[in-house]
Amino acid sequence: MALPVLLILLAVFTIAASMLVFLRNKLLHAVIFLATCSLGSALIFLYLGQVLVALLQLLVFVGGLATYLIVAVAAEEKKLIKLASKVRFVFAAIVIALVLLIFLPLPPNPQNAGNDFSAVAEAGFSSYYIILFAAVLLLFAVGIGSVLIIKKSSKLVV
Amino acid sequence: MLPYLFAISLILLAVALAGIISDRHFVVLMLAVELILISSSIMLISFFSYTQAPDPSAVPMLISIWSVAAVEIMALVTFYIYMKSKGYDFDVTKLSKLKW
Repeated sequence: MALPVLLILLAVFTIAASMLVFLRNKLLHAVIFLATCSLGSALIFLYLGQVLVALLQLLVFVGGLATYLIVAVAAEEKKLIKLASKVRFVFAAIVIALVLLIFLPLPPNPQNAGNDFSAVAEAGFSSYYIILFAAVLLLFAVGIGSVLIIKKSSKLVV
Repeated sequence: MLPYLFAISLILLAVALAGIISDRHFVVLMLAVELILISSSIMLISFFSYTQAPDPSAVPMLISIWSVAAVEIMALVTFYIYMKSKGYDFDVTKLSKLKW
């Protein structure tokens, strides 16, 4: 079986970014590396041919959550709490990865079936759009409500 | 290809778990949970792409992952600003101060 070089490069990019979330020196850098890791996962989705999912992953994680975190949390943080031990983190990551990879059976290696996520979603859930929109509106209301509560109860400028 | 994708998501999960074990900063622990959600979405989409009979239940599952991630970040920001305004420390080993 030929090695999927592009997938391996994407994997190295994503895993390196995920490790740098914990090996950072500033919280702002941790959030930026989390956004980079999300970008890597979106590129993996693109590699799998799921264009819509990749786009939504970018929108949700990089565009929405990472920006929200950077503006609300990371830019404010001045005090640094370092890792207890970077060596301990790397050692723990390697041990847990080995345990998971050894004890969980790897799946077989089928051919890509070419399933289109957006087509399946359209076929199965087009009659539930109103409920999904209502759920999104509720989520949005929760977000706005949390900001208002914070603004009322804290002296910080939000 | 599927074993590679499976291994990638397992390694991401391992990194996040190692971060939860090693780090003490409250916000970074929540970022580790985000990493677990990213790992689970990679595994879900990988299995969806390679299965011969795609299950539509993958759609609400992925939407749930995104929703949980969004709600977690909202809760994190609310809690962060609350703790900051009260002058609490973000070191999780000192969170016992939040007891009633």
